[in-house]
Amino acid sequence: MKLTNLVFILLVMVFGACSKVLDTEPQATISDEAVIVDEKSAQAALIGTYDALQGYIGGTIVALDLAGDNVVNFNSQNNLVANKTAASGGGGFSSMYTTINRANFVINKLPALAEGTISTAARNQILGEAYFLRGLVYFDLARVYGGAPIVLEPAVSPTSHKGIKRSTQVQTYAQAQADLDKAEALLTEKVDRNRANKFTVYALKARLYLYTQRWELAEEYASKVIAASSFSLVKPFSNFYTGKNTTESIFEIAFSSADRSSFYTNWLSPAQGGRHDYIPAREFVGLLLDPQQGGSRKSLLFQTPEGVYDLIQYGKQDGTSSIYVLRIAEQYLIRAEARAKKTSPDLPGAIADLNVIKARADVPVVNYSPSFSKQDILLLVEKERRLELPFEGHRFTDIVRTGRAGEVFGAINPNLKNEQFWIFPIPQTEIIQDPDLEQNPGY
Amino acid sequence: MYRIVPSRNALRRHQRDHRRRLSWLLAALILLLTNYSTNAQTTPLINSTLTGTVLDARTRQPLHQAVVHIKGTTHTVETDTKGKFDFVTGQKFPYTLEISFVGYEKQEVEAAGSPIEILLKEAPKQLNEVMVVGYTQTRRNAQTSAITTVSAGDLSKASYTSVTEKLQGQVPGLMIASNSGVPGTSVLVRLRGATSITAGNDPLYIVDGVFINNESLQGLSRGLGGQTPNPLSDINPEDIESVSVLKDANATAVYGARGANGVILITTKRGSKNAKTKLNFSADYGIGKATNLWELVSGTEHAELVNLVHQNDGKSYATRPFRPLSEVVAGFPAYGNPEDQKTYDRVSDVFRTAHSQRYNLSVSGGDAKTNFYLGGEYQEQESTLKLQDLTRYSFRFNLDHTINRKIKIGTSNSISSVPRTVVRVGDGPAGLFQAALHTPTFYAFYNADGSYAKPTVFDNHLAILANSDNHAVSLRSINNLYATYSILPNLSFKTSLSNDYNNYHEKAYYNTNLVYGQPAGEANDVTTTKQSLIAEQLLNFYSNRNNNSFSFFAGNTVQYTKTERQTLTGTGFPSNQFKRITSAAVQTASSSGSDYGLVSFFAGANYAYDKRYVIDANLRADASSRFGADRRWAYFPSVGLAWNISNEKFYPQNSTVGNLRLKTSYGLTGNQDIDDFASRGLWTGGRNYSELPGIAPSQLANPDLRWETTSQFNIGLSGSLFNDRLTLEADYYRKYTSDLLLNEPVAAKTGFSSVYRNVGEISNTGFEFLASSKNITSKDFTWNTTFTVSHNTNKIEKLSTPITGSYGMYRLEQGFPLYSIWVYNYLGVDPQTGNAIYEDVKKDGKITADDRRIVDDVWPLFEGIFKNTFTYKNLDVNLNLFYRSGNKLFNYTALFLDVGGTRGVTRSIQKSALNYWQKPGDVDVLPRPTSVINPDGSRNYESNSSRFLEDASFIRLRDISIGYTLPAKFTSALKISNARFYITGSNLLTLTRYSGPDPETNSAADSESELVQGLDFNGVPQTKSVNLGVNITF
Repeated sequence: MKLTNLVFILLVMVFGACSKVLDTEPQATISDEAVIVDEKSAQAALIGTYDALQGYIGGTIVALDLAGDNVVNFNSQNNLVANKTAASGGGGFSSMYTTINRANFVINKLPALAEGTISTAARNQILGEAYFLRGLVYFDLARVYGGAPIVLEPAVSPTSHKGIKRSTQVQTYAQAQADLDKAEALLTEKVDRNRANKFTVYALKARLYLYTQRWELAEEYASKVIAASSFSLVKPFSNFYTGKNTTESIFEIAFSSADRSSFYTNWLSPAQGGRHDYIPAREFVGLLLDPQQGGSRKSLLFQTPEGVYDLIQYGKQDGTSSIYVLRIAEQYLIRAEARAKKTSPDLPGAIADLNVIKARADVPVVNYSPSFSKQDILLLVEKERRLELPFEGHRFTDIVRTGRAGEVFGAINPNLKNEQFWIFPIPQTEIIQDPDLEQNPGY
Repeated sequence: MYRIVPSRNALRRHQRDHRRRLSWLLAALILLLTNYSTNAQTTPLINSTLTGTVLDARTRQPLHQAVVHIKGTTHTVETDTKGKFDFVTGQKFPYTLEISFVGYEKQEVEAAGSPIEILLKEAPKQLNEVMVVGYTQTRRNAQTSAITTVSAGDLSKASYTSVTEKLQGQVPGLMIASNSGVPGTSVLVRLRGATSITAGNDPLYIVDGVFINNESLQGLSRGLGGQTPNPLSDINPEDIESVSVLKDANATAVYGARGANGVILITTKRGSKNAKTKLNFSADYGIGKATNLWELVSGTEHAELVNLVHQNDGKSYATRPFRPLSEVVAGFPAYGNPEDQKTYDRVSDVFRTAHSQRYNLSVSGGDAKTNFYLGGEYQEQESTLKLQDLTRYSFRFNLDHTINRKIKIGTSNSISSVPRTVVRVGDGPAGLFQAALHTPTFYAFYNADGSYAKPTVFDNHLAILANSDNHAVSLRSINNLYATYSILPNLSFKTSLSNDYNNYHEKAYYNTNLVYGQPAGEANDVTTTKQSLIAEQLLNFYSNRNNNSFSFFAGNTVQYTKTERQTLTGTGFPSNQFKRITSAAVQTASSSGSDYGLVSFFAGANYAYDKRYVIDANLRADASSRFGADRRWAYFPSVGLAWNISNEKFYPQNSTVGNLRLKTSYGLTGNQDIDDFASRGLWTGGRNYSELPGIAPSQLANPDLRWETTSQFNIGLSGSLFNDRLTLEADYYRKYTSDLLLNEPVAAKTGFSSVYRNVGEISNTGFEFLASSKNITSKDFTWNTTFTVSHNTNKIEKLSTPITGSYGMYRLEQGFPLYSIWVYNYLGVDPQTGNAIYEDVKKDGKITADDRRIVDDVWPLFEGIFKNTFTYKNLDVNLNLFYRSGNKLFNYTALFLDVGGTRGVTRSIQKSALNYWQKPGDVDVLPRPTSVINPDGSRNYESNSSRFLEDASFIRLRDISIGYTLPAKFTSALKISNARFYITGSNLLTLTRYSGPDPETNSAADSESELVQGLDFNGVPQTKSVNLGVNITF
């Protein structure tokens, strides 16, 4: 039976080959189980979380600034304020959760790493940074959407987190607070302007306290940063964005030529390699150009030969412009507002902080006189925030949190006379895909 | 249907089971064969000696291995290489010999003495034709499957680069659409509709037994704006002998997990045994043009319309865009008075008269033991859109050799190199079309200082023409090596090894004159390699005794496919003279790879009784590495029945209807065309930050992921009329696909956007009809006609949540076909106000996003060809009309060009936009030009509305050719055996109501994952061309 022998040998060969052929392993990817196993891999997963932040922060800034009165869409300059609908809401909802999920992997896996695979110092540092990043995202979710589902575990299957509904805005801010508390305990004061550290936590907490109206704490935390020798205002104004990691920066999302950002293409004109999808609003350009108001902050603008004013804050054509999440100028303005609003207002202190910013921008300072009311000072701070932090996603939520959106934006976007529209709609596609999600009322 | 195997040990056990089962099968088979051979004993009593020769009746060439059998005995011999045989037998003269040879008519001859000469006539290639279907050979009338075979002579005569375009319309049920007029770009091929949403709808292509890759390997990071190369254009259509399209489940089930979208078997030319060496040379030269291009407004018309919109929007006269340059208003640029605007024509700058040339040389022949085919080709084809062309160098070598009566070996090889010049055509600021078609005509080409003007977001078209530097080379080698061993005269074993190596190398350099070259130049260099290795073993048994014919096959294939990609990028060049990445300041490189394996076992049997009843069954078992470990194996069975009614005794012998035949089949096939590691939870590197390496989860796990399964029922009736002069074939089918593989969106809170899941069901139902008729067959004049028509209805039977594809207007929803159009339903213009009226679906008096609905889909109602061939003496004329009806195109180009000036100075306007509402009472016009939102919340322009969904039905004179064959007296004087001169015209005439340049355009056909089909977004129209050529055989 030579034939059967032959066939048998062939079959054995074939089966030998089979199991090998079917047991393929991905080369550029690793499966879930074996991924975070030691300090090095934990560090890589943390870096991946920063990468996610790089992915969402620009889009959120644009969505927020378009909702206010600083920025308009170039192609539809008539609509000064983008009309938010559930179908075109923006804001970066899904990218925010990508960041949260990556942070959750780090937060979830690190405590379980065996002794000896990671030092305590590294463990604390990595965990602290992950908590900070998650806190930052929950803070953004709360201020943009007014409350979001809180997920604290990594997703491992399509049904993970099923049944988790939206929390309230208060609960979402509380989650941000809780994460920042943990980060504060774990992180050190070693300054790295591109990464989270204790000062980054202080600065974000100061902002969070402003949003949650705990003025004393806001002042205290802003002061912690202002007092630190590592941080100071740069002069001229333009240095903070033409340079890199200047003393102005507390937390700066960095890009490099190997890790480029395409954010500049949203702002620069075609002649400079962009599309200027968005441009500063004309009325606001007038303020920036006014030597009495914008002062040296007019350097943010560039006039094209056609006469359009483009923003050049993010204008490095090689895609290396940073995005500024926290900088020291904001801390002065946080403290100015907190000092004016706290139970026992410190109005001269508020003016002093305000003047630090004005002086740096080369505009006339305000001389304090007791005739100033608290309200006058708050309006001055509000205006200064608009001029000092115009394109970093602050304007819209600043006006919303002080309850003035109807007054300030109502004329250009009548919808905003209705408080329901002070938060963004959850994108319609996300509502369809997640039965647990409920849309914000009015949308 | 699926075995659930809980662990790897169990998987091994499972494989052992397979092994055991197969050995049982083999043992049974061998027993059966031993039986046959014991019957073949002879008695050694000598009564007569007979020697003879078997020759081809026409050529008188000897026939090797013809089978000579003495009727009524078991005595059988085979002829040798000289066609000779001899018998030493106990039979006495006279007795009857039965002589059979594959491809020849069986003959009975009375032998009265020795020697004897027997002439065999070649069988007419019709109903008794032996067909190769997958792994088995059966006669056509023992087929139960729906299969259409097109021979080389019937392929389109037009000068296309790939065989797919040449097949258009020839095979009922096979929908083929040339997506663009650029040679060598992708062609949409759908057999009996679409069975899948994201797992691929392309049929499986097999060339001489090699499963070939038909996925584009394009990997250029900057892309070509929706344009992808067609991997099948690596194969020279001149080398093709025939194409068989396997349509129903019974024919495709033996291809199991890859059979759901049909199988296209391509057979290339092989030399004939015992034939004189034949040399064939052909040359072809052609010119082509793109016609019916877009017509844009003049500069003045543009300016007037934009000023009108400004006025209609209620804005200040002082800030109107087109006003004297002297009227300066800060922030509101002035462009000069409308009447001062000049008109600059960019569109005609980017099109040209395209030249093409093709030379083909082949040599074929063979002796008694060996036959060969050598083919070489050089061709050059320009696209009518500048900066695109294709060159192909291809070489083929096919050889078969008979070592002895038992062993035969052979090989099929094709090697080709296809260099292309390419350019980004569509989407994005760098597209040539955007630059030429979408830049308003009033802008000058150059700035005052002589530099390229770049007034809008698009590149300057002259800058692209002068500076584009984008090339790709495809290197392809398809090889097969086989050996067959005749274990017994009717049992053979075939083993074959195949290789498909495909290398695609792309190089692009963008200098500072181009947007991608900002600020200091960028270069990309991408090499993608895909290689499949296939080992296949096949046992084939065939028996034909009395009234029973039985065939059986069993086999196994193991396939391993590996893809590798290297990407190099350089930015920051010292100047525009330096183009290679080595000169770049920043150089980045990345490398990635992936692989998958597929192991299959298959078997099939065909039994025909008395040429009347046929039963056929096939089974395949497949395992793919792409699926969850617990879901790896799947089984694909099929069964078919056929009834040759006209062979029944009761059937009237002289009926007008001959060869009447009813066939039906049912079976299962699969689809595994998804990412190699789609079932795993994965993490990916490269998620870097601050110059540190980062990783991140990139895919959610789904261990339950399994095959898409398609069940298909087919019933067909065929027959012929008027002594086989009119042949008719009709088929009806119903395909039902379940467990659709879909990258389904998941809740955002998971941090992922989608996961591969088995969700949803799709059905395809349709019919196909083919009529071919020999109208006139006189000595000097012949006239043949072929007519095909096919219809398919596609429907999503189950899908939990609707999915919206790219561009926002493509929608998948339960109860509707794939690629349904979901837009505002445009009802026309209110003659009083000039405002657009849209259907208020929600009936709330407002037009909101909720008022979009599915208005139609892009599928054709029916399509086919009407082809006529005439010959008169040495003249031949071929007319091939292709028609498609009921298909829709979303004219996305018109959405930009017909916006009535609301896009101001950023986009161009086409002439038809000038027909707008001007005063109450105007009808058949576009809405009043304004960008102000109407009282009901709608917009007059810039909405994805049904206004842009157009009927793209058409009838097209696909090709017309006139040929003249030199009379024999000239050719013999010139010592050549045949010479034909021809002229061919392609796409010379198109009848359509579609407003764009080409109703066949399908701009994003390859964006399967984006769910887009039937989109016209800057498509390069099909070329109208005229070719002259000659074909000489020595």
